[in-house]
Amino acid sequence: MAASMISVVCRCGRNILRSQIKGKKYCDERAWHGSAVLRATDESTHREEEYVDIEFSTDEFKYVEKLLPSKTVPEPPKHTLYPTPSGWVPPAANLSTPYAVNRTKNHNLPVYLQVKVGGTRKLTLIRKIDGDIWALEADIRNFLEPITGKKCLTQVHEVARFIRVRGNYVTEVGKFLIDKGF
Amino acid sequence: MLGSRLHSIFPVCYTYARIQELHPLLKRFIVRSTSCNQDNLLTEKSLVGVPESSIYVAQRPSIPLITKREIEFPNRYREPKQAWLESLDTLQDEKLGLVDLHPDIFGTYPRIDILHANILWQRWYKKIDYAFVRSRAEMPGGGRKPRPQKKTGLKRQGSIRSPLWRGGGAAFGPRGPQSFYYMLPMSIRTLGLRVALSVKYAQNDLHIVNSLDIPSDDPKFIEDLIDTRFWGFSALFVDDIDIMPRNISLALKELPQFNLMPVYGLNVYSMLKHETLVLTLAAVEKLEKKLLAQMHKPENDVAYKKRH
Repeated sequence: MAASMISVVCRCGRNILRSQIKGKKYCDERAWHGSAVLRATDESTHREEEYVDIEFSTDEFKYVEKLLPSKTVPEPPKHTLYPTPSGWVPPAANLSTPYAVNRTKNHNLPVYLQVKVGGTRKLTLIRKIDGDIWALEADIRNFLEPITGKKCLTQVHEVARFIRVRGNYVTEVGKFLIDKGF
Repeated sequence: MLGSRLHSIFPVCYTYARIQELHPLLKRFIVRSTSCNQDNLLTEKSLVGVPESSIYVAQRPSIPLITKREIEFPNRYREPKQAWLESLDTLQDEKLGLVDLHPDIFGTYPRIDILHANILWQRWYKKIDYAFVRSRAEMPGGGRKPRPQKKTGLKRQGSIRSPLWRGGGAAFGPRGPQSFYYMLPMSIRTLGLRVALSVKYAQNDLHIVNSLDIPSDDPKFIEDLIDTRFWGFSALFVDDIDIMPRNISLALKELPQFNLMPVYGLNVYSMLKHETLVLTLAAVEKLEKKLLAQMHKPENDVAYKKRH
């Protein structure tokens, strides 16, 4: 009994849907014919009603520009206190070293960890070096050797302008560079 | 100090009106103007009897003296590179001013490995190898066993088109057409352009001119100009747009060693192939802008990238 009731309800629903679709179709067709008739009878007055006045304005485009991604990485905002909560420090204004380490385009230090040979060989890479690269290498060695208590093994690439230090000393080298003002 | 040195080189007077009529681009530069005093007039008078080709300073009313140029994204630790702004109006090298160039573009370290990667890429990506040799399946015949398996006294053979046979198919022959297309990473390509420009600058083979307008469409003039200025056996002239001035186009038409190129066509191979690189000031502006935009673009540079 209950099953047959459900089927009846379903059938009713289907019929209602079908009739609605049919009705819409019918309405559309009528509307189309109707407009054709209108166009034939009184074309000029009907056309004028279709057009609405438009106003062109470019002032609001600044709100669109806010949503568009910038073409270049913007300058970092001025903070009241450094280091910022994320630990970022801006480069210092004046330098007294014969070398320089440029920031990346994202305003970070170009110090990276390279992991090789299945994770057994770790190297600290310092890129974007200007000036006397050998002086920087000596300073890094003199800074790291007392901290680690080990001999600091480095590789200096004069053409590609980078230094590699054996071992994971990314935080130590980063601190050293920030203290130097880079 | 620099200013005083330049004044000794340019004993002429400078007016702002002249600067504006010379080139609209020059308005962007900081220009130092001096009044026309008695000393300058005397200098010009004393040059009247000298033949035109040997006069160092041209007989024009005034020259803009460019001492500085705005540089976007300046390098914190490096001074801008400097180059003379020259002109192609006269045979003799006439300096119109001094322009600053970005040190990250015209003063990078000479990475010959990057140049090599770019040159290899430019040679290889457009190469198509058409070599093709048929395999045993593609050769006619060979379906029948050439002789019985046994009792002939000869080795067992199944097809006359076997790779072991003379006139047989190739076992591992070239299967062309084969494309050697690959794309070098964008960072290597832009670094290649910067290194090539820096190498040209360091070797004194980079010249910056105000425009490519020359007074005559005679090839003799431009050849004499290049000889006089010791610009070598080949030169590449680069402008910011691809519609070149009439005179230089006609003059260089029959000279294959001197070529014209717009900024969008500039590449490492052409820069190294030509001995001298001549850039217009507008080309320098456009080039620097594009390369700096590449250097400082964010990682996610596609607007509204579809995420899956």
